Amino acid sequence: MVAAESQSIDDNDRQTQLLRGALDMCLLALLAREPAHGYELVRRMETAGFGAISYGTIYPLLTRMRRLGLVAHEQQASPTGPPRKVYALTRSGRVHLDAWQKQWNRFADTVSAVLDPLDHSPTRS
Amino acid sequence: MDTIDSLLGEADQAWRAYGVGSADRVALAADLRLDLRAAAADGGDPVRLLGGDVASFARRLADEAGVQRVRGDYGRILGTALIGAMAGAMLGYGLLVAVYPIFVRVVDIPRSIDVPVQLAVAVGYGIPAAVVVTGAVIAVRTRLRDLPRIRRTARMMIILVPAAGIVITPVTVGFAWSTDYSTAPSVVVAEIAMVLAALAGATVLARRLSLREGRTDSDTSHPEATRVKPA
Repeated sequence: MVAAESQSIDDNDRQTQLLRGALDMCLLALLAREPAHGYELVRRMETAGFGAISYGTIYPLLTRMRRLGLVAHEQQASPTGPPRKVYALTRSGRVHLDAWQKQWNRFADTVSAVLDPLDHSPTRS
Repeated sequence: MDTIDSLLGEADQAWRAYGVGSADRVALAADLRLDLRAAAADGGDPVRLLGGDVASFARRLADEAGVQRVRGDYGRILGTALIGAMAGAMLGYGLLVAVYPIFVRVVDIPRSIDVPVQLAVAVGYGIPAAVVVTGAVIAVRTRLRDLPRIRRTARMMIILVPAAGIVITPVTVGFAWSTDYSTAPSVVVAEIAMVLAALAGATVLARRLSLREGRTDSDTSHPEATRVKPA
């Protein structure tokens, strides 16, 4: 029981670490598909399978990407509530996303190549 | 006050403590308010959205927004000013002890000249006060030169600290008069506290004004950041 809990905490920590290096890229990719407001992005990340990522994590990141010119926003009137800041990818954001995607693919291939032989190698008890 | 106002108030306090300027605080809060209101309209609970630690969120947001931070460092400034004032007081006292006999010997005012008591008081108290203020300002200017905008703070102190001294002196004298010039320890302590509070207040005000002056909105947004150009 304790071991299972410990394993779960460890998994969550690793997931957080992995996400830290890929979150901005994933946000750009989601915005490349369709512009969205901040809260909508939180839901899209959850739907994409990342689990519950807090708005408190995503909003500062969007702010940074806006500062760097990777995303831009405009206020759009909403029929159901107050106006929304809708974020979309800029040209610079698209260029960065393409570069990051290539880098990620190379990295993932390298990691996979390193991990693959582990499936067949004997382990010491 | 609704939940969003309350959260923004908490964030504003965190930004203040973090040294974020007022223009940037207003811009960050306006942006965040818009987003939180939109999220709340979609059914999101603003408190849950920001998580339990609003201060931490606010600091992270300020960092990611790239705002310039300038800390008040009021404690350091007050402590340094006090040390400088005490050094000035000791130096002034030493000079007085050394120079006074010489001064009396050199400048012999004839008995026929009636020196106004106001002039005598101004010279007798004004010069030592000026030495004390000078000590405080020099200490702040030289020992805290690593702090941003410290020159401006020192310049403000040159104006505000003597002004506070001029204002608090009659107040303190009035208080002393109301106690029949009592020398009871509690009365003397109260008089000292009044003077120190006024001088400390002037020092803090000098710092606040020096930080406010010329503080503009940080350039935290990319030129294209408010124009949506879907790629």
